[in-house]
Amino acid sequence: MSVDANHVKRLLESDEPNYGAVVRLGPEVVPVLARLIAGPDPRVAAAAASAAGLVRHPQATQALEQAARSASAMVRLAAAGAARNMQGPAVNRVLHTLLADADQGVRKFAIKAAVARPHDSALVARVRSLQGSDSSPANRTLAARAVRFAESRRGGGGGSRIA
Amino acid sequence: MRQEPEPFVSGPPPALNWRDRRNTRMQGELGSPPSPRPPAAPTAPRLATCGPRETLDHFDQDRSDPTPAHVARLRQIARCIRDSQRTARPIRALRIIGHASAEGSDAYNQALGQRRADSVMARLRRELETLQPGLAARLRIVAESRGEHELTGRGREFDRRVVIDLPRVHVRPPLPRPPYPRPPRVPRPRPPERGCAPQRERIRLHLKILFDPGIPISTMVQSMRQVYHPAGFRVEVASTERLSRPSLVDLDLHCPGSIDTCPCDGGATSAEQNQLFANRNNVTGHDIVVYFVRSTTPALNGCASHPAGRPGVVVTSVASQWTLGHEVGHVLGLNHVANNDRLMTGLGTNNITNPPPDLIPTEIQTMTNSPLTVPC
Repeated sequence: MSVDANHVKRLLESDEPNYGAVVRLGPEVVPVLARLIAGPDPRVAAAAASAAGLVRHPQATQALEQAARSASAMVRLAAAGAARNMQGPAVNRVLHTLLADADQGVRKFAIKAAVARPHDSALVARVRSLQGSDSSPANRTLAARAVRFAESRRGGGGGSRIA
Repeated sequence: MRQEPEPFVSGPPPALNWRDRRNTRMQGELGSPPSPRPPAAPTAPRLATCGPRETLDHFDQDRSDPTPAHVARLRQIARCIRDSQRTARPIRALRIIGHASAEGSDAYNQALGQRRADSVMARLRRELETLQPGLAARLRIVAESRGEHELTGRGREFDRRVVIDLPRVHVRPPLPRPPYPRPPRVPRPRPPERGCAPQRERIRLHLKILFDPGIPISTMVQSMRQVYHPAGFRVEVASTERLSRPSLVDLDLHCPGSIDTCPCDGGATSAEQNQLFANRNNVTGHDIVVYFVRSTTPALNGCASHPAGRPGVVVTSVASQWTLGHEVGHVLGLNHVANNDRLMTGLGTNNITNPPPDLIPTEIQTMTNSPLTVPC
């Protein structure tokens, strides 16, 4: 079943995009989202990146990679947020890039996404390095909490949630 | 310890004889410090004074922070406000208006004027708190910008200014204390501060700015008024405050236990939303707080969900000029409609086809029934 691109765009153009309706369109929506991520409107592109994370389909990883390369910080930020909902080595590679992003908001959400992968030691090491090196004090604090959380998860403990 | 500047006092200066006057004038011309004034008479304490309108000009180009001269004057104004509380004509409300010179774009200067007004408001609040803790919270202070729209004609240095309106209200003098114990006072509902004709209801907003949106906030407020005023709702900006919360500039809407995100049509709120909505300086019962952030994850123009008892909305930097009114509409009980002629369109207020968008009678009735709209 093909998905109407204009319909998807309309769903994402709302002030509060109807992500649930986009997800219900199924994996066929992913190519449409990828086209919107590459489109000229960063607002719609960011919403499309967020939606790609919620679709939770392996094909969505390519859309995520594309969003992570966007010139718009808003789109990269949405990609970092979307990565939290996705799994796989390709997503981890994207997160490595986003943890080194110039924008502190992008790094904030990349840290939050990385902490959901406590068994990727390279990612945890990268977050650990941000404890002391991130230019944002808020991100340094978040990174320290994230590392503690990841270590407690690896050690089998519960740890407090990174919200 | 910080040295207080010489108080700005009311009343004529102490009389000087002709020799004193000549000495004072000569010293002033030579640039030497004036001779010290005779000590003030130890009788009645003198009150600091200020005019109904004070102007702080000569802001540095493209800067919003007050200069040392401004700070000194703000300290005097704070004393004046404090002292006025003991008079029959106290200052209870201030309007702080930021201006910019004509260099740069209109939008930039609008934002610059707002930054100047906000900086002066913050500094004045600090001075008031130093003088009398709790005084700043009792005053109604509004900060706004006129950008480059009211040039003085006296040059750029004078255009780069902040004007503080300090209207005084008349209060009844206290009645003489009766010779017998007063009966306990029966609390009465506080009447509205003033009417709001031709509107019937009032909506009070508090603007908390973490990040300036692409469309100026003043434009968003004005656009909201374009829709709300004809419907009978006066939109008042009760206060404007800049919040320094870098960790919340990009707001995480991820809800624990939810598969994706917190719904923005009410219900649950995320941990970061709860942190953000805890910032409620100046906010009272029926007020709505608007938090301006850079972005949310997932990406939204705005979000109307709020913690219980803390009505408010989030507006992001990519919002349209109608998003503020749209989100406040949700807080007042309105739902989405599939019609781009209406404020509550679910198809994106960026796509509104026939501005200003409409509120229909049933929506107006819903808003009137909301406890957050207060009859005038």
